[in-house]
Amino acid sequence: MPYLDAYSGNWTSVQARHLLRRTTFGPSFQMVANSINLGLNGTIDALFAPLATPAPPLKSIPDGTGNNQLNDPGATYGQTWVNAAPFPNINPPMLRNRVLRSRSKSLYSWTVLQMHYSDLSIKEKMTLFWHNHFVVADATIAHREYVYYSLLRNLALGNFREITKQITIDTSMLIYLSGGENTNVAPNENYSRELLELFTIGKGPLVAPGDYTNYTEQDVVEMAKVLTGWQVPPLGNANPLTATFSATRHTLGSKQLSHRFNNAIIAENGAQEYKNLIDVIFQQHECSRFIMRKLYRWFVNAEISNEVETNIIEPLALILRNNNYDIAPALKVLLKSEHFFQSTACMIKNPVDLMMSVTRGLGIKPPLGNVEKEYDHAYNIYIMSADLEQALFYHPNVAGWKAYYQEPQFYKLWINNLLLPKRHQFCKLMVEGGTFSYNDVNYQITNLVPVLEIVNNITDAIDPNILINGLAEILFNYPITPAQVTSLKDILIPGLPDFEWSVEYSDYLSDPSNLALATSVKNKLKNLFSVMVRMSEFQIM
Amino acid sequence: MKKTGISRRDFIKSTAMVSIPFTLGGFRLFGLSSQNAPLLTDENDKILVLVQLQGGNDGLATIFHAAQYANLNAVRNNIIIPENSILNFHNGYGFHNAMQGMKDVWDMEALGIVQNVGYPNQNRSHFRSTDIWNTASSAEDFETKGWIGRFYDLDYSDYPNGYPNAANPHPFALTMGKIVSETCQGVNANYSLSLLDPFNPGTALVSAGGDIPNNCYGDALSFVNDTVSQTNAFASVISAAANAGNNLSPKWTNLTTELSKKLKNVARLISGGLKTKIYVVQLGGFDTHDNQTVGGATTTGIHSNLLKELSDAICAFQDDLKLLHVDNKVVGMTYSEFGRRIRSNAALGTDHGTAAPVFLFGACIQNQIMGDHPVIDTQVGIEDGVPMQFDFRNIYGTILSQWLGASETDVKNIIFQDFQAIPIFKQGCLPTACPPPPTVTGNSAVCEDGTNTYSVPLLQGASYQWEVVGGTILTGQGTNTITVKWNNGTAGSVKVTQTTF
Repeated sequence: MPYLDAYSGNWTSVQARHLLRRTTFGPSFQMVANSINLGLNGTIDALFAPLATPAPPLKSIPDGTGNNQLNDPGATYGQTWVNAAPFPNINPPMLRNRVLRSRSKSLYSWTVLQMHYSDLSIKEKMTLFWHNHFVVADATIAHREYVYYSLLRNLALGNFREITKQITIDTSMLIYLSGGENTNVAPNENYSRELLELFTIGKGPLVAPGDYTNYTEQDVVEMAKVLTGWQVPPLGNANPLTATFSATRHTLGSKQLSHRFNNAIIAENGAQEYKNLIDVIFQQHECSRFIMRKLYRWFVNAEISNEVETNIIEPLALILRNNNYDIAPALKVLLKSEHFFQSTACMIKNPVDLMMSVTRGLGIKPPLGNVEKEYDHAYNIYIMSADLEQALFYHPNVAGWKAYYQEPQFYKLWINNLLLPKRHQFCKLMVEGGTFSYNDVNYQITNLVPVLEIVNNITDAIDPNILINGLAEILFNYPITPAQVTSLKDILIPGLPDFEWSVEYSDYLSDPSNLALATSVKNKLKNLFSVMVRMSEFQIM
Repeated sequence: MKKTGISRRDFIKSTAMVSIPFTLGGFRLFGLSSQNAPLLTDENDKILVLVQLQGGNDGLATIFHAAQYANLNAVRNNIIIPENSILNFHNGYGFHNAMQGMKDVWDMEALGIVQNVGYPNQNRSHFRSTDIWNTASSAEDFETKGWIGRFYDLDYSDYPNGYPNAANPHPFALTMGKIVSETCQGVNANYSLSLLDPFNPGTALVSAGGDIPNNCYGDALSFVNDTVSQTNAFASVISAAANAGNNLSPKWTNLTTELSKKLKNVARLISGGLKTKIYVVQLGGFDTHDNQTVGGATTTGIHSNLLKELSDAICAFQDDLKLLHVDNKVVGMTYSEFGRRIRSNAALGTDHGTAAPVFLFGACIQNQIMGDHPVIDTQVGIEDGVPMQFDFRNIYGTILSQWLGASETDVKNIIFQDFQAIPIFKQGCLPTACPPPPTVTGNSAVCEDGTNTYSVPLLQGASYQWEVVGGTILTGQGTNTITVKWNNGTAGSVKVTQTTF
């Protein structure tokens, strides 16, 4: 097996789609076409090219006091609110809460919009990876969420050790894992435990009381002491988004780590001490294996066999260490590898991937020129993903989404008897339109899959067999069977012979402005798309 | 001539009722080996409701004892509730002030409390410890199947292929939420379905299936396809039960919590005749590292709200089951991945600890407090949790064998170890309140006109009624050993009913 050797096979839409599905969200037709032109190396270069920092989120609710209107003292409609006071002085407090919620809503929509607009770039997929790695949930204050997510985005293709350092004193993280409450009087171990178990080195088997192979309970206690003294300024303060260090709340003196860290001593170093600690943790090679396994599960496959451990994880971990924990070089090797392209595609789409594949992947674009509609479109995707159990900014717990760690089901956890009908419903809505409700709020879907445009790009779609096989190539990983084609034809043209489609469709092609012809063809295609996006094959990528 | 056709199912039937003798320490050790008992048949209609408290419940702020209050106050002064707010219920024991509902269940004589439950070498990671509780593995072993899943694997390991079917028309397990519980993960699939709205379980589009290749893509594809067919097949029985069922307790009226809604649905489905044996409900938020209580008003706060939600919901549930006349077949059990530290931290919270109490509730549950209340040393270390007294697997084992009807051998396989039964059930309530069915020893392949001996281990005080088809009992009727003279024929059977009083 060639494993990490560079892939040298054919470069067609099949390979391009596979790479882009895994590294972006629901690749558009244009992205696939660009990638085919660029080739594998060119596509990888494009995916890892630096991106400008995106313009900040905008106030998306129109100003005013009527229905669906809101005044935010920090921003008018279409302007950004990120430079406004994080906790505006508005009375009554209920109105202030509405303003704060509207900013969070704007941020969530904007986060989905970045996935849409980032085009041929791996950055948003990596940002979401870090969001699922350094989980912060329930922050609720939009400014803190924005600072946190921006930190992840800025360093998304950067250095693992450096992200760890910065996130350690991020105010959202200090709140989420009680770091801001960790003092010399009574150390709080919440963060130090997760720093080891979930963020850096991972937990090994319990080999002796309190000894988890990679670290011990003593390390949890001592590291908590290292991290004492950090505080989150209240929102009313001048600079509430930057943590402060209080020497009087810091546990003074050196901290003794266990033999798992070669009995290292973290010397007293005040506000810089946490960096010394993280440097010591990262001296352990296990950190490189730990993060590479997690990246492998994110990009390739949930199952890590001994063979994969030896031939994929271990060499990638070495590349990571040789690059001082810069993520990109090892990741590029993985995504260019024979292994990546030879692996069977069996990842059940997470909800965001599913919703992006049925929107951007099928030609739906956010309405431009109308901030409210643009953000509403993205918010629908956000809410649908949340209803499907992948709520950005609201993970179920600090370990992130179960699909990426819970054995033996892994990705299958996205699907069950309750979630599958919902997935079907949402995919169908994107084709047919309609409403759905979530937490007693109704949402309208009007921005639909442009079925005629898609079919226009399939050569010889006048033949229903070619049409259906062409769509299957766009939607699925693998070709479908003749029996499936036959049953899908019965959706497209129920009870009719093939030539009826050919006649109708060529009539339309010769007179596309004829509304009656266009409508009847469009309705037939909608029926077909609506079924195909609810096929089991569409759930997998 | 060969005699065949003696299956493990019809060979043995133990029909007796017996009171279980407990040894000096209050525990009965299983001494007899046995055949598998029938699972999930009409002979066992018992239901188990698992209430998972996610995050690690602070047991020391849940149940108090007057004798330990002063010392506890010394080590967690900033979060402890005032002594006069404790709800005393039994001989110095008291509940947190928010737990009036739990006290009511105690007063209904339907509450069992097992103190200090955990496992050796407590792991203080949420995720690892939750896995340990869900799989019933030891702290040193890694297991991917859940303990309920392994229970079902005994007889239904081909699930989900061909289910539901005539013999098993109802879901094996239901998780009242969006994601199925890991306790129900079996060898091929998770035995649990997810349910939010019992009236509208949801259906999935059936589309033409393609080839299923023999690789991970085929595995994923057939998983989705199976989910489609399961969804549709089980949806009708669930909604039928919801429509046939009822809720009668007035206690539901003022409850709006998520847990109460879930348990209310469980009661409705049970009363509507759903034969599902396992229900899982979850309540999150117990990871109270900070602001567990409100400073200066320690009777309030996050933990207080959670205990209230838990207690009120269980109380209404128990009341409802009673009014619906199904309370004799339902028991519930709470569990949480660990308790918390004895000492509080400065942030009005507590860090990850070790053992904690488990609540068992139901009309068949012995109203009692088992185990000792934790003795608090005022000089206790910052890292110390409550020492374990009961291994949680002994509770699982007792439930599996005495409530759900698994044999001793099966239980050992399910929980990976020998176990000690704990007297958690009331007598006279149990479907298997008798020794496990005995194994008949003797040749199953015999000759025409041959004479063979068949026996079961002697149980003191038991009587034995043998039935032989295709042969004649020569000696031993009424004892644990018989000799049989076989006739001419192709098949026969030996069956014994062991009766104890």
